[in-house]
Amino acid sequence: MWNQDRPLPAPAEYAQENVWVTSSQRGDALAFNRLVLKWEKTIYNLALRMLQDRDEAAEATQETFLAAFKNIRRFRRTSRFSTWLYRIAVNHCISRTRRRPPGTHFSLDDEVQSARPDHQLHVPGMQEGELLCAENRRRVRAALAFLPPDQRAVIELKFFQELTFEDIAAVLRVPTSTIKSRLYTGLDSLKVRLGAEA
Amino acid sequence: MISECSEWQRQIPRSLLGDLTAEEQRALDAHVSACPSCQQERESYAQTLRMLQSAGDEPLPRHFLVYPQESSAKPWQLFRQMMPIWQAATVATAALVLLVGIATVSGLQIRSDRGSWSISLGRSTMSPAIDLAALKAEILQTADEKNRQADLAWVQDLRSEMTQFYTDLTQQQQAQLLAALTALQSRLNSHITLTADDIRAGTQKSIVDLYQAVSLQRQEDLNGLNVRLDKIVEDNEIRARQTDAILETLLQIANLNIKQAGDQK
Repeated sequence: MWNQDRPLPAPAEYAQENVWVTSSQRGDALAFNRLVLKWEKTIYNLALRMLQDRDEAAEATQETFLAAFKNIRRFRRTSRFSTWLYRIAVNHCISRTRRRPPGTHFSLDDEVQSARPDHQLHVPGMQEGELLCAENRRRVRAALAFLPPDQRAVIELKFFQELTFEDIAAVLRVPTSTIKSRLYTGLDSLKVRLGAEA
Repeated sequence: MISECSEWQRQIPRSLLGDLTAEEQRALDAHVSACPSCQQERESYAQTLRMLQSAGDEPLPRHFLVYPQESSAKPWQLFRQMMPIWQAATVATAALVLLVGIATVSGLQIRSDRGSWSISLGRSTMSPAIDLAALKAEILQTADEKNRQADLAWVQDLRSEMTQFYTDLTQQQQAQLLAALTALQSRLNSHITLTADDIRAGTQKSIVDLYQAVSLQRQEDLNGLNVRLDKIVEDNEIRARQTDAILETLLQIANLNIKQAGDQK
């Protein structure tokens, strides 16, 4: 059912990324910004699904790249650059979630209701397919908002970043069995919430 | 049936994510095909996965480029980003450092002498038992040595990492070069084959052209010869007719002469 044949990055693309990482480790900000341009959409959307707040997701994304730039010399290439970046981003998001006062519940639905013109779903001229896609995205995020951060992180890395169980274990630094347990528990909750909304 | 199904239903998400062995998968499929409740459960999970798969990414609100001067965050920004427990620990450490600083500046001395403790402010009148200058020099030297070793270790790590990276890159380049050479060789082979075929076809065409030209020339020569032979035959016939006419005239003359001679007699 789930597409597990994740396409590997092209060797040339991977080599290019390695070159940029090496230049960044020598302090080349331009090379690092090429990495930023490559990964910013992925990291922003990861943060958005983890934090459920666009402004906070943008702040977390910026913090992630700043932290990565500051610590790039410590990146030992024992894993992929993306794995290392996911780890920084997920840790930032979980840390931000834990700093929130108890009982705080963010949902992007609140933003839709708050009449922000740039985030309204029913934009005139929007095609039906885009509307359905946006509605589906809204429902998935609303369901994700009710998951604990550790389950949300696993769901994010498995279904949106399409990592293997082993890669997720490497990102979160927990055993694979724990990853699977969090994933199936989270998936069960999502099924109930999305099924109830349907 | 329900309690029995709950165990099967726990395996359904694992099945959809390819996390079951082949044997477990076969057993589950056999059960689900005969159980409407489990079929419904599987469809429900499949629907959830489809929704997750189709929830795409949002566009970026802006770019997140990094500028080197931004990367050095100010201390108060770092403090604000800390978790409360770390903030408390930082405050406690700062207070301790402040206390030690004040004690140092004010010359606070705490002494234990034969089981009794004494605290005093100001410089001690007793001569120090330890040579402070030598101690300071020793501490500085130790710190320098440690820094030097740390730098050496860092350089060593960096060098090994770079060596590893360049080795990997060289291997990749070698593989790419080999692939390119193989492709070039195959292209050259095909080119040579094509060229040989072209030459063969050209030669055949030239021979055919030559043969046709020679045949045409030969035909023209034969035609010319025939024309000349016809002309010779025609000339001969004309000459034969002329010869016959002359002979006939001569005969008539001879007959006339004979007749005149007979008449004279």
